[in-house]
Amino acid sequence: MSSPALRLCDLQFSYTRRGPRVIDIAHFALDAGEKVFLKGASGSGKSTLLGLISGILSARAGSIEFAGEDLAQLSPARRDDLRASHMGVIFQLFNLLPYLPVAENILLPTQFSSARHRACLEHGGPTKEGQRILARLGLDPALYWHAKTRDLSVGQQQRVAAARALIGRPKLVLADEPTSALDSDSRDAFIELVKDECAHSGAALLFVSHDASLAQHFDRTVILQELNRSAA
Amino acid sequence: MSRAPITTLALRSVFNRRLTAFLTVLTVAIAVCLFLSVQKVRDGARDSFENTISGTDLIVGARSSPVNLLLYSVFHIGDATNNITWDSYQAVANAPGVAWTVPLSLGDSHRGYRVVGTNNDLFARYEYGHNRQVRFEQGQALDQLFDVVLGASVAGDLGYDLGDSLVLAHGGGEVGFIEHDHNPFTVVGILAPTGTPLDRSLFVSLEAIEAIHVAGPTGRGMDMDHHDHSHEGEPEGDDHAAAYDLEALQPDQITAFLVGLNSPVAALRLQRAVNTYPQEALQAIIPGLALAQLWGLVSIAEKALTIVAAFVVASGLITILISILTSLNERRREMAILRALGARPGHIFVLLVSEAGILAALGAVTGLLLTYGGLYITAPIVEAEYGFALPAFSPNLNDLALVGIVTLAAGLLGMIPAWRAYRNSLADGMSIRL
Ligand SMILES: Nc1ncnc2c1ncn2[C@@H]1O[C@H](COP(=O)(O)OP(=O)(O)OP(=O)(O)O)[C@@H](O)[C@H]1O
Ligand SMILES: [Mg+2]
Repeated sequence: MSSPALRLCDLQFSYTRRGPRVIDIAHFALDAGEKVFLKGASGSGKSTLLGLISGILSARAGSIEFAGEDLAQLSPARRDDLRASHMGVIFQLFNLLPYLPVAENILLPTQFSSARHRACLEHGGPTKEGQRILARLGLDPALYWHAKTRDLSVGQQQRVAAARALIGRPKLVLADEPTSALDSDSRDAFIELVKDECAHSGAALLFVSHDASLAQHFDRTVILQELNRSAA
Repeated sequence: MSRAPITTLALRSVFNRRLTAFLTVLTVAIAVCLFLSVQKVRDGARDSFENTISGTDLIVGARSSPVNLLLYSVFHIGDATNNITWDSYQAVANAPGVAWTVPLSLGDSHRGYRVVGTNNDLFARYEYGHNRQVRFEQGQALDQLFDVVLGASVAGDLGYDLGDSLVLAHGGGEVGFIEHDHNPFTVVGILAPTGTPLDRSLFVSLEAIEAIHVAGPTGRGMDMDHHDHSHEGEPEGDDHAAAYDLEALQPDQITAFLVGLNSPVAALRLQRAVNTYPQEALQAIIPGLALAQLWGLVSIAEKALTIVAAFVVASGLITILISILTSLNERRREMAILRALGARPGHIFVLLVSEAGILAALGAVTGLLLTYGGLYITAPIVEAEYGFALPAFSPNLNDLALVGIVTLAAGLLGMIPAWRAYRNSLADGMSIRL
């Protein structure tokens, strides 16, 4: 009964007008708060799909319904606004702006979006909320809140990136192979922590990787090659 | 998205690359400093140049070119082709409307400095700058036949004091070819610095010039001593018997003379009269006009310098462009992160344009401060050494306009990397290319 957080219909995309079709998806939906594992081989179009969902790329045909709007119909600027307000993104590596300390990296989304700033105010303000999330992700704010970004280990940087993606209660978290640089123990721990925090704030999670062994952590696994008609 | 803290991020990002940023700013600062310095020195030189002589209505000499007459009579550069006779001088001096004249007899030197044969009217009448008068730092005007008054630089550079003796030579070179050892002159006065060629001159009476030359080509010299050359002409003859016959020392030629008129409006009429003087080929010039003509020649070099300095500023701006373009690849990830956070491609564009503007503005302002600081320190030295006043410490509108233009130009240049980053941020999507 609850409307899905995200729904794709007949989505088609190619990087250039006459270039090969990278994405061709008939249907895909993500329920609110659902945690989905999207598995795909390298070059199958995972990052491209996340670019479309986040609104950075423009679909050539089809629809992307998110937060009651069709991204495919929105102007690029409106999509940028929507992403700033309602989505958190975690990359594979180097998520942080090296010239900002941990605290300022985490708080950036609240500066880019007033909606996320307001969402923090309900929970004691951006700083308090940021420190709470950081603590839940296993980094002691007393030690790391004011730390320099370049002093952190890779695993710690990914947790800070997750905290930044989660601050201000986004509806959707997109993670593009965020654990590929971590060893298996810290990888499992990281996924559990992100999942917990998504559950806490009610965000849906679309987690992308080529590593099938991660599927056990998620409600559902989708294999991109089966979904994507152009990846054959 | 109006909340996007793009300019703050631009500043932080620049600060993160502060070594290259510092060097880039320094390059622009040096370029701007060079450009401004050329202008300040040019302004100062022109001012002091145009202020070399004032209050004189006409300069009269033998017919040559106006610039030539100005050069040898005022700047003591080059030599007169001909002298003019004392009779012609007297004829002009006694013409109606002439208030005063100062005779100049040139052609002698002392250790590379020009010796000017003249009379004490020079010190009373010569004006420079905005009607500033010649002042004695020490001593007084000429009195005895072998008295000499020194310009400020001559006394300073050669270390002469009042009462010192010195020897004058015929000819203008560093080493006079006939040194008149038998005619030692006594320093009786030293002028205050004027910033004009007077500083680099020695002044003796016209009669003294004659006395040097009585010696003739053998350089035998005339046995002499210090003699009164007052109107009575009575020789003192204290140590030596032989005295000059002051009548015989009456010059019959001079090189040029300065003319002051009762009313400056008469200058053109008198100039025409002098130029058409039937007895001798004379020439009269109006100093202001001749100075402007001469500056026209000199200013070619100044224009060349300005053009060179402008090119240096341009290369400073290109340095900004290079530093941003080379940083672009390593910052592609930074752009992708900002995009993921909700920054629009337009924000990426603004980020890079404002970075170029920030670097240029910092550089230009630093260059401005460097220039003023440099002027503050060097202006007194330059004024003392070369005698021209640099227009110190007055930020004029042109200087501020230069800061604006440099910043604007950098902003325009910054659009090149900004456009590339804009295109990248559209094409890259979520994947980040390194
Ligand atoms: N900016 C781009 N311009 C043109 N083609 C691109 C661009 N980005 C990706 N592609 C192409 O699109 C296809 C999908 O690429 P994508 O990066 O989405 O794959 P992926 O599943 O994320 O791979 P990986 O697991 O290696 O990250 C590839 O064939 C790739 O060459
Ligand atoms: Mg990818």
